Formats: sequence, structure tokens, C-alpha cells
Amino acid sequence: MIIKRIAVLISAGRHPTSGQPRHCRNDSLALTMAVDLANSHSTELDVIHAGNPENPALANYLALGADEIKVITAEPIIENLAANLKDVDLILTGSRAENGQDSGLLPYLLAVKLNIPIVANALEIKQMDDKLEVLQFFPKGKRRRVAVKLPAIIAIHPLAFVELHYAYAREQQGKIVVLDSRSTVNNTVAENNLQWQIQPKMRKPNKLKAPENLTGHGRLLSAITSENKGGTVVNEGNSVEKAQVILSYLREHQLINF
Amino acid sequence: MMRINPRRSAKISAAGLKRIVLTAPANVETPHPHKPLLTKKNSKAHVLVIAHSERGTLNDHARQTIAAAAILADAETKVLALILGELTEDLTSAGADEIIVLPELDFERFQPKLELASISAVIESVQPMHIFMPDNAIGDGDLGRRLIASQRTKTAATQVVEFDANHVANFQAGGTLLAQSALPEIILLAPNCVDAHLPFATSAERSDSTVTNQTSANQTETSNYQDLGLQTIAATEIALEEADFIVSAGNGVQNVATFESLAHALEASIGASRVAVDDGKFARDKQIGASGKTVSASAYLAIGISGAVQHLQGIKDCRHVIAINTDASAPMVKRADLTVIGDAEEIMQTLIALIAVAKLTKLKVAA
Amino acid sequence: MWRTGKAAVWSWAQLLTIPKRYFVDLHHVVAREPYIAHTHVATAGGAVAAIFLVALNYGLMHYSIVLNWAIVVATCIMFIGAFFMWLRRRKVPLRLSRGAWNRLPYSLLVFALGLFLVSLPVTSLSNGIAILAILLLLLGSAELALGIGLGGPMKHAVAGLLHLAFHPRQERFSSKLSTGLKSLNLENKEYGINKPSDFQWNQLLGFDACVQCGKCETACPAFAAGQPLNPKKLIQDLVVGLSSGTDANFTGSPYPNIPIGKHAGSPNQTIVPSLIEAQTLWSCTTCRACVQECPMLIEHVDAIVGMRRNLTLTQGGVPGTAQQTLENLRQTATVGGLDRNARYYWAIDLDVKTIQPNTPVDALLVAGEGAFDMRYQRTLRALIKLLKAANVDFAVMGALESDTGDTARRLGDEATFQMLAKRNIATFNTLQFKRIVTADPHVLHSLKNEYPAFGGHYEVLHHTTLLAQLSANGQLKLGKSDETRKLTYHDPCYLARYNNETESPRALLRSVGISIHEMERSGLRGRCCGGGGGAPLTDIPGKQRIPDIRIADASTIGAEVVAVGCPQCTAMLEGVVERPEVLDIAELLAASLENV
Repeated sequence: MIIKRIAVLISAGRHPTSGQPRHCRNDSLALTMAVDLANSHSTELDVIHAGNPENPALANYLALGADEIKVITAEPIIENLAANLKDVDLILTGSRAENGQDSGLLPYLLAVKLNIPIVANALEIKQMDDKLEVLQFFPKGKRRRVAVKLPAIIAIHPLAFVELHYAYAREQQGKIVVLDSRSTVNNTVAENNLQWQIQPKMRKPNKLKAPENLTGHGRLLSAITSENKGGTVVNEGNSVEKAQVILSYLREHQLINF
Repeated sequence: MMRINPRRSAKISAAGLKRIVLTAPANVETPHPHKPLLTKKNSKAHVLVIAHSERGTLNDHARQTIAAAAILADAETKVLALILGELTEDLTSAGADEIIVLPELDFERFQPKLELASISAVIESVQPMHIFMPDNAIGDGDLGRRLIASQRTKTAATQVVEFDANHVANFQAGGTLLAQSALPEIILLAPNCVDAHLPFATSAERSDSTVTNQTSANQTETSNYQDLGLQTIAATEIALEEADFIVSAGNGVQNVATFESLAHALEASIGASRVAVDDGKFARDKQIGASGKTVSASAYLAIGISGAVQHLQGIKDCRHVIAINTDASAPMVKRADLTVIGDAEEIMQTLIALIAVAKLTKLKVAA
Repeated sequence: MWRTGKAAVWSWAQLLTIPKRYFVDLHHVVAREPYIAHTHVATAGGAVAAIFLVALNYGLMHYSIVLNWAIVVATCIMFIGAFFMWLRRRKVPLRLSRGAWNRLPYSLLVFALGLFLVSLPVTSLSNGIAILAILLLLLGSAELALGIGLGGPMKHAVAGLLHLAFHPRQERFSSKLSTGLKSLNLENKEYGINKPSDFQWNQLLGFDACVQCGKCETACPAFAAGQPLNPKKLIQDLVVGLSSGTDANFTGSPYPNIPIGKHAGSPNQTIVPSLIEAQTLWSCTTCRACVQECPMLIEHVDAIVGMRRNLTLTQGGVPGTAQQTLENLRQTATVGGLDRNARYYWAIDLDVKTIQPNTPVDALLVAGEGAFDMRYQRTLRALIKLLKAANVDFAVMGALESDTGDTARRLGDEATFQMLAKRNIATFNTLQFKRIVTADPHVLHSLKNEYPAFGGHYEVLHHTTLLAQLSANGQLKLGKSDETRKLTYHDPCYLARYNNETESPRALLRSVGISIHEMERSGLRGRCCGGGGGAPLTDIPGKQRIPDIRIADASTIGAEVVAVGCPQCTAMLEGVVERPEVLDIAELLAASLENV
């Protein structure tokens, strides 16, 4: 099977410090991968954003390589996105957004809606016949190769090895097109929905701890052996003893297996 | 005036001290040496914890998730832990009342359809009030989202950083907002938002789930996905940002060759302080610190690094920091969990020798 | 030929400026090396005089014996000049090109000898000698004529003179500084230099004027550090590109680590990478040492930034961490992606005013990115102490301050620079101040030399300039310094070469009783620290690091303290492990306040 159409889903992000609208980094990685794939296979590429077409963040995606961005304004998002992705062979997106709830659920919900497979945490993709070979990220230097049947959704991991190239000239040439704003779907059942209360002020989240009915002695003990003690300092002994201390520590905390 | 008999019945406290028992009967059987056992005979409801194991054990994140469920569960609610993959360790201190182990669903294999069917079957049979999963990258985050997407009538929250019996909270809008909501049915928990230490022990009985055995027998992963295998990158090639064990050199490392063979022996990635990089001993991409890379290794062995503020910023997320330093007053010593004061070259040489011996011994034992 | 380039404003009248520019401006540069200067006067002067006289005597048919003798004298002078040229050519310094340039002394000698013999008013020349003389003369003339027409070494005579007349930076000749980069009209889709024909014709003319003397090569810090840049080769590559050829005939030193003979270009072919590799362009620290040295007044930095602009604006091709830096500038208006509100946190305990609209101050302190750096905060604290001691009415910009965009501009991101420049100018317009003071020469340069193009005209002073003024008029009373260690002063490129300020820092140090031991390269010819032009971000590998070379300069003269006046220089020089102490002028002065 030849990939005929690729779609990239992009979201609006914002800078964590300045709050300025910008491209979402994960989605930009997906865009760059999609542009490379589309160029090497001369495939049609749709860059799709669901949201506000006026968002200044979209211009960033033009600079990063999108020739044209199609904006879907109709709600509900998932259903209307799905309606526009029916005959697409490959859908790429970042694994988490930087704005809104950034729950990382969107690709999964879309996959269910379109009834196609999804592979998340993708670092690399390459086409193999009618399948796409995906290199998946796992922590501690582990990687998994997965072949997935097309059409499919691939969510790109933040560590994907892609260099972003921001070019002002492309931003000037690119276009933003608003698709028909009427919703094409009637299904408006709110799903997995929670009512969120937003706190604009940052505070550290409270850590959950089991309540403990300690005896007086226990309370005293826990007070004097607080967690933020300074580390142990080993001054004495010869180098063998010192090295042994390090090795024992590593063993004790299961940091080595010998 | 009352006089208390000094030979009265007494028990050994958790701290190992002898405490006189004032009112308790003389013979108290403590089934657990340290912690009181919590039994839930008449449980009416369940909370379910789903997590993958790694090499037969649960990592801290998974244990925190079970602890979270155990803390929230009341006396009549059982914590059922559904472990995907082998389990060789005891979970009585983790907080699980009941355990189902599905060894064929280990994280090393990619079988999302089978996993989803299996956990859905368990959910169907026990009808848990809440489902907790660690939001990690070894499969639970992925499986959790597949579950949420497939059970669309259930409320759900991901990357939860704070919660109690009444609410959950997570960061939204790129970490700039803290959003709160009522406790949903499916909760994917971020790491380190729960203290895994529990003051009680649980029974952690294993039960064989007939439901899941049936589903796994009937399902095969033929369909859309094909697992082409898991591979591990050599420690030296892992990007520092994701390295789990880093050996890092500073100005105090004179002999780079010794340092590199130590890193090789420990199968660790190599990092360096700015000074060592500027000195030309290491490539720029090895630099750790504010102007270099921020790392989050489980183990960070800092050799000859005094620990400038910028460097400490770069290692703030490291779990165990071990320092080898000549100067006991260096800032790194204050940060480190363990510091050895002495000549770096000598200690590195000795460590290399000890590691070689240890590896050889392990090899002999295995053979 | 240069007509393939883009149009530039010019007029025929500019030709009249040649003599003055030739004898004054150009000879300021050439006279730094007296041997060559004298040789050139003899050779070129002799040749020009001889040719002029021939034209006069034979062209106008005077056939005067007196003039003939004059020709003999002129050819003698030229012969002597060419002889000394030959003497030097016997042991060619590495920076000089060989090839055709090695032939040149011979052809000039031949020309001189031939003309000498022909002009000898001796009628009894034997036929043999006469034929030989005419042959010699023809051979020599061939070098002159073909050289000019076909791009041989003598091309420099014509191109060089015309370049003097039509130089792209005319201001340079009216003893004004001209160091600010020319702005691009982004609305007109001006995106820098993609192919040789994108240069203005007078820039191309300038490249042809190159005599391959290699002074730029000797001065270039990137070349010295083994990074793949050689300004001379770069100019010659552009010459090759204009005339459609390869670099195979280049006879000078190559770009370090890039072999000669693999690159080619033509006027309408994209330069990078077929003619010049991108890493060559990204090695430049924009220190202007090459421009300072060039006897033909070629503008290398303009050419390099022009080509960088095209890479950055059309392809987003900046390497290393520069990409992230530019993103930070766009999204946070800081180099480090930091919180702008936090820029002046270090000043909280110093009781410093933050400027408010409608509250005029004398001096506005613009600290720049250095304010986020804990090291440079020490300098800024010292500066504030000095300003207070001098009772200067000043305020900082606080959260209103955006980065000047200097780094973005050097990296070729003209769009981000213009965005930041316009934003800052809009902010400045809401504030009332008489002058701007900064401790960062990069801030100084962009505000003073580059903001006027966008309508921002301010009096901008480097802190050393202001402190020197205050000290001279008695407002700032400095004590005697306790500093007894051997001290040298490192001139920041953006203060010295870009802003011609070399005296104030020295005067201040002298005024507190510190004597300065100069390094071999100092003042306008100082060596770069490696921190300019975004070079630490692009981080192109070389054999050694530029700051190491600079610290070696200081160590050679046994300096124990290096005085500086720039946050970039401070950071770069302090990054060297074994080094003298690095202290800002402000720190040295503030310490002397104790002894008033």
C-alpha cells in the first residue's frame, strides 16, 4: 500500500514561563516528521488544527514547515476531527499537548472513533510495505520496534530525534484556511468528562501520605530522623574500604545487579 | 500511691524498644513483626490497581499507586492489584489485599488488544469503584489511555499529581495551571505524588482469576500490531536526559581513561561538569548543568565535581547522588546522599577492581 | 561583470573621491606594515608614473627626451620596488597566497626592465637587445593587462580603486564609524544572500579587490582555533562564484579541515553548500578583526551575515543550541528562555529605582542578558555602587526590558531582531531618559548603531565611557586601587572595533593607579574572546577554543588579572580552567571606592 494522505494534528501551545502562544513542541516534531515523510514519498499532507484560527501560535507551524493549516472550529472536537480524517492513511500528532487539559487522550479517543490502531511514544517511523515500522520509547535506554497496519495514528514522543527548523520566509508564504464551521456530527455525548476547576496560581501539589497513629516515641523518632538529612560522609579508611562503601550503597538501593 | 510491676507484660515496639503494655492482655499475637495487619473480611467493594511489573518486581511508581488505593480504601473496600507480568516479590507492605497476576502480559511484549481485553474482563467481573494505574512509559500510561478511550462512560483523569478521597488535581495548559476535580473512576497517577510507606500491612492474597484465563486463551494478538522486539541501547549511547545511571567527571578527574573504564564497568552513561568540558576532556553534549543538560538518573556518581549551583540545578531530579571528592566542604557533598572523601583516581581504580571481582563471582554462582 | 550583482545607490562623482581615500584611508591600514607600504609605493608608484609618462610622451606624441629620462627614473623606482617584493617572496609567510602571486614580482621586474631598456635614449642599441627589451615589455604588459581583464593578481589595481569609490559603506571615509549591519526589508521578501548575484554589485567589486595578503587570516580567531573559516578563502570563494569556477586554483591556506578543490559555484547558483559550507559561516564570531586588517577595506562580516540570513530566514538552518536560543528570544524576549520579571531580582537589596512612565531620569540602565548570570550580577552590583557614589540619577528597566536582539541579528534571524528592536523602541518611547547606560557592549552596539535604522535614536554609553566622564569632571571620586598584581586589559570587540572605545577603560584604570600591561593584540586590533556572533551557540568544532588562545595571550605577558568590560568576554574567559583572575573594570573601580 502506498501512503496517499498524511494528516498531522497540531495544537496551540504556550511558553511555560512567558505564557506567550507558540507551537507545541511535541506536535512540531510530528509535523517535521510528516513533512519529511510526505516529501520523500510525494504524498499529500494535511496539517489540521482544531480550535481558534486566529491563534498566533499557528504562524509558528507555518514557519516550521506547514504550507497550509486547515482549521476546524466545529465542536465536539473529536467527532469533527474524525469526520475530516476518514480517508487518511496516516495520522501523526504529538503525544501530549501544551494547552487545554493535555491529558494525552486525544489520539486514543480518535483511534477508537476511527476504529484504527494507535502507537504512542514513537521516536522514529518508516514505511515497510503496507505497514509502518515504529520505534517506541521505553525508559532506561530501552526501545521497541512495532509494525502497525495502516491506516493508523502515531503519537510522537518528545525525545524523537527530529531537528526543528524555524524559517521566517515560510511563515510569510504559508496560509491558514478555516474549514466549514458547521458540525457534521450530531453526537454530542460528553464522554470521560470531568468538571475541572482551574487554579491560575501555582502551588506545589500535596503528597498523599497514610495517616499514622504513632506513639509518642514514634513521633519523636520520626521528628529527629527527618527525610531531608544531609548525606553520609565517609572520611575514614583506605581506598578499598571507601570503594566498598560505594558498592554497598549501590547494591542496597538496587542500582547495580552484581 | 500505685506501684507498677516492672515485670508486667510488654511488647517490642516498631523501633525495637521494649514498651510496657498498660491495658492490653498479656498474650497479643502479632502476625506481622512490625506493622499491624489490616484484614478486610467483609469487603463489599473493590478498588482496582493495574500495573506492569519489571523483572518480577514492581517499581516505586507502581508501589505508590497501590499505596494510594490502599490509603483511600476504607475498611470495607478491598484493594485488588492486577499485575501484568511475573511477580516474584511479596506485596504485603505495598497495600494490596488481593492480587491477580497475569504473567503472559509482561511489558516487554506489545499486545495492547489482549491486555485491554484482559483488564476489561477483570473490571467487568469485580466492578471496581475506582481504577488506579501508574501513568508511566513502560506500558501502563498507554494501556490506561486505551482503557479510558474504550470505556467512554467512565470519568477519568491522567497525570494526576495530587489527590485525596475527595478530589484529584493535575497540571494543565503546559504545567501553568493546577486543575482540580472530583475523584474520577479511572485515575492515571504521576510518579511521586504518594508516599508509598504504609503504617499497616495487608494480606496480599493471590487469587487465580478464571475470568482472565479464559479471555487470554480466547484472544490472540494477530490483528493490527506486530511486535518486532525490545532492544536495549548501550549505556554509552543513551542520551543523558534519559540515562538511569550516570558517572560524571569534574575538574578532579585527571585520568579520563580510568574514569571511562569505571563508567564501562558500571554500565553507566558518561557526563561531565562545565569545567571538564571546557577543558576539552569531554564533548559538549556531555555537559550537565544549567547551561548543559538536565538529567534525572536513579544513580548519579559525581567524581571530582565541587558542585557549582548551575551543576546542582542540572541534577536536581537525580534520586541517589554519590560523590567522590577531596574537599568535604564542597557544595556537592551537601547534595550527595553518600560522599567518599579521598583521591578520585585511587578510589576509581579500586572500584573497577572490586566490580570486576563481583561480576566474576556472580558469573561463577550462575554457572 | 559586477553588474550581475544587485543595484546599489551610487554616482559617477564618487570616482573623484578615489585619491583622498587611497592616500588617506587605505594607507592608514597599509602603513601598519611599513615594509609592504614602501614596496607598494615604489612598485605601484613607479609603474603608474611610468605608464602615465609613456602615455604622455608617446600617446600625445611629444617624444621629449626629458620625459624619456623621467620614464627611465620611474622604471628604476619600480624595479627597486619589485626587487624588494621578490626578496620577500623568497620566504613566503603562510598567510600569503602563492601561485600567480609568486609570479608577480618577476613579471613586474620584467616590465620595469623592458620599459627601462626601451626608454633608454641610446640609439645605438643592438638589435638583439632591442628585441629582448620589447619582448620583456610585452611579457610584463601582458601581466598588467590580462591580470586586470582576466582576473589575475593585477586585477586588484582597478577593482581596488573602484571599490574605494563605490564602497558599500561610504560613511567609513568620513571618519565616522560604520559597523551596524544593514537591515533587510522583510516586507519585500529580502532574505539575505542565497547566490553570488544576490550581493550588491559594489560588494562584488570589493571581493575582486582582494590582494590575498592574508592579514584577515592572521587576525581571524576562528581560523586560529582551527575552525573551518578563513576570511581570505571566503572572499576568494565568492570571487570564484562570481566568475563561475572552482576553488581548485586557490593557492592560500584552506579552511581548516576542508580540502581545497571540492567546491564550485556560479553567479546564480546557491552558495551553501556547493561553494561554501554552512559550518564555515557559523564559525565566525563577527569580531571584525578581518575588516579592521583589510588593506582593501573589504567587509567580510557583512558578507557572512548576509549568507547566514538566507540560511536562517529561508531554511531555519542555524546549528547547535542557536535554534533553541532564537526560539527563546521569540517566545520570552530573553536569550535563556527566562522570566523577564526576574532580570533585576539581584538588585532588590540595592534600592535601585525601576523606571516608570512620566518619571524622567538622567540615565537608564539596560543590563541585558548578563543580568540573569550570577557572575555578571557582581559586575552590575559594582556598577550600581559606582553610579550611586557619583550621584547619578538612574533607573533600571525592570520587567519592561526585552532583549535587544543582538544575538538573533548576528545569527541571521533578522525577523526576530526587528521584532525585538521595534518592541524595545516602542517601550523606550513611553519612557523619559536622557541617555542609556549599559555594561554590555553588545547591547551598546545594537542600541547605538543599529536601532537608528528603526527610528530609535538614543545617546548610548558603555559603563566605562560614562564612568570615565564622571571621573574626569570630578563627579565620581575614585580612590587608589589596592590591586598590585600584574594586570592586562582585554578589549571587547563590540566596544573597541565596533564602537571605537579603547581609551575610557584604560583611563579609568590609570586613574585608580593601576598600570596596564598590554597584550600583543589590544585596542582596535584586540583578539576576540570567542563569544560574539552567536559562536558559543553554534559551537562549530575546531582544534582548540578561542578563549584558550586569548588567555594564552594574557599568560604570555605574565598577567595575573585580566580586566574586562563585557559579560560575554567575562563568561568566555572565565570558562578557561587555568587562567588569571577575570575582573570587570567596574569591580576594580568599586573596590577603590573604599580608599577614597
